[in-house]
Amino acid sequence: MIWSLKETLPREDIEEIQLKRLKKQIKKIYKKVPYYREKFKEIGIKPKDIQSLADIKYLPFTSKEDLRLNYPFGMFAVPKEEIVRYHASSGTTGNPTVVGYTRKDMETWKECIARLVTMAGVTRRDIAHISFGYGLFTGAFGLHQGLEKVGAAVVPMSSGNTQRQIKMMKDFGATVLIGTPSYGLRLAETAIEMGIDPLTDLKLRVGCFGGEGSTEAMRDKLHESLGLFATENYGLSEVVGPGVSGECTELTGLHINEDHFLCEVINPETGEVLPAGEEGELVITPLTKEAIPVVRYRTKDITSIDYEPCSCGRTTARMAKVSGRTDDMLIISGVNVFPSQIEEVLYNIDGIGTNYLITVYKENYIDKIAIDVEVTDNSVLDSPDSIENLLKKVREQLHVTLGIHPKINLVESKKIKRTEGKAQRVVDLRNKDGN
Amino acid sequence: MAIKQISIFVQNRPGHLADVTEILKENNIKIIGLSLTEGNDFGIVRLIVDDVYKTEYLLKEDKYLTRIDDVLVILIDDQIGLINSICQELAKNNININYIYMLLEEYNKKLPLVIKTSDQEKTKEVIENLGISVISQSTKSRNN
Repeated sequence: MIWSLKETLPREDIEEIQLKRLKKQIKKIYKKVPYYREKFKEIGIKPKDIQSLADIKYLPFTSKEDLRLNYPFGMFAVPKEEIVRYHASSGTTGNPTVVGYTRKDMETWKECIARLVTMAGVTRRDIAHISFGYGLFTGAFGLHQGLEKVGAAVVPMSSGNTQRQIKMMKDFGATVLIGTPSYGLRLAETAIEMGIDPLTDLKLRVGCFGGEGSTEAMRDKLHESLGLFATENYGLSEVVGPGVSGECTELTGLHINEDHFLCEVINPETGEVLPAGEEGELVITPLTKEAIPVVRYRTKDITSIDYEPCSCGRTTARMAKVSGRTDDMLIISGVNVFPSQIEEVLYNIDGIGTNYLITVYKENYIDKIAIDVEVTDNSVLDSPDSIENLLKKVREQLHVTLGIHPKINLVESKKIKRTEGKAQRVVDLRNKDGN
Repeated sequence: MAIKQISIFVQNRPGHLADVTEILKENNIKIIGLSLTEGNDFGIVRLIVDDVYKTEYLLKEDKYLTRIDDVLVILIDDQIGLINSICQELAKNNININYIYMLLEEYNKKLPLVIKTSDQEKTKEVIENLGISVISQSTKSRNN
């Protein structure tokens, strides 16, 4: 099923809508957001210079850093009384990136999600179990509202307590699972441990996964272990949250809600716009966002875009699954972490040295993070308990500050690998093909 | 004067203790006593050697975390009930034993035992009151 006719328009019509909205959006941003007005003036561009979609290349990029520098409301384009919801990015030290939604933004968001869950196969007859954490993170609320719009029954389970999640899915007869793909696999494993066979005891039929990238191998594994049709959707809080794009049942890429998001793929080094089909960094300009309308937001996610119509009947462009990042941000089971944040936490713990090595790997398809840390306080050699206490402290600090649960290995300093005299800080062993 | 013991942090993995003993062998340092305390993923190696400061220097050069402590070495006869008397006496005095291990060679026909307790001073006193001798590093070294 297709939720909206907007998803099936001829390319010319899609582009016409995009251009109309882009012009209007840029005019408004110029008027309402001093930060952009200054930036536009610096490079000598006026809203009227935007006469075609290709003219977007003259506009400046926006980065996460720009949002941080304008914390909390510097990039907002509407008075505060217009805001009906705030969200913020996860897992950061220092200033988070804050986003807001007007009443109309909320409607747009619901509409975008309604399209994505419908293209994944969800209908009003479904019972959707949401295992994303409810909070400042956009995932849970985003999917929740869109699923309600479709008419599905939402079970707002939130994250944690895996055994209870399984009991609820079984007792409520959940047919749709919402969460990170790695959590989906954990649910499957825990169910088996509890003596519940997901294939016969649960009624799951569709999975709408997001919050982290996944691979084809993970999709197969989710299908085998939970008996559901696994789809992926994409988004980021800076442009809306989930809702930018998602997979239809043809699994030919993620359909972009093009009437709301203008997507470009650029060469991350030069900033030059790349032709259709070429791989590069995804840049998104929301076309209808009111509260915090960013221009050319650099996602740092690597993908490519295919503009050919899909056999599902939709004509909207499709982005390939994100294949990597242009920066060193790690996504560990849906939590975004920069190595520099881990470093900051470690540097502030007494008894720990400045050398460390982060290893990211998969264990039974679930993201795991291990950190080799050197001990520098010899008073802990007093007893194993002192060392255990130090370990506990490191684990707790990382969990409280960044929301991650790393395995901490206290190691001899010389065992921390260095390359070319310079410390290598991150080793990512997650195979792109799924292991 | 007490005996100096060196403690070294190692990971609980094959070869990690061997890396330490290799350094000692290469530098002709004699191991007189050795104990290994096991944690989940780590170990604490405790050594009595014939040159504790040289050992410390060499290990630090290789970035090992080390620590030197004073421990008592007591000399006991090979006799049933003797260790029990020591433990009973320490218990009576409310002294907790952190660890005990044997040295690898006899000394004056007696068995040398390294002991670390919650109160080393008092332990020395209690043990000497039992008529058991406690030795110091200096006498030990001379006899090597």
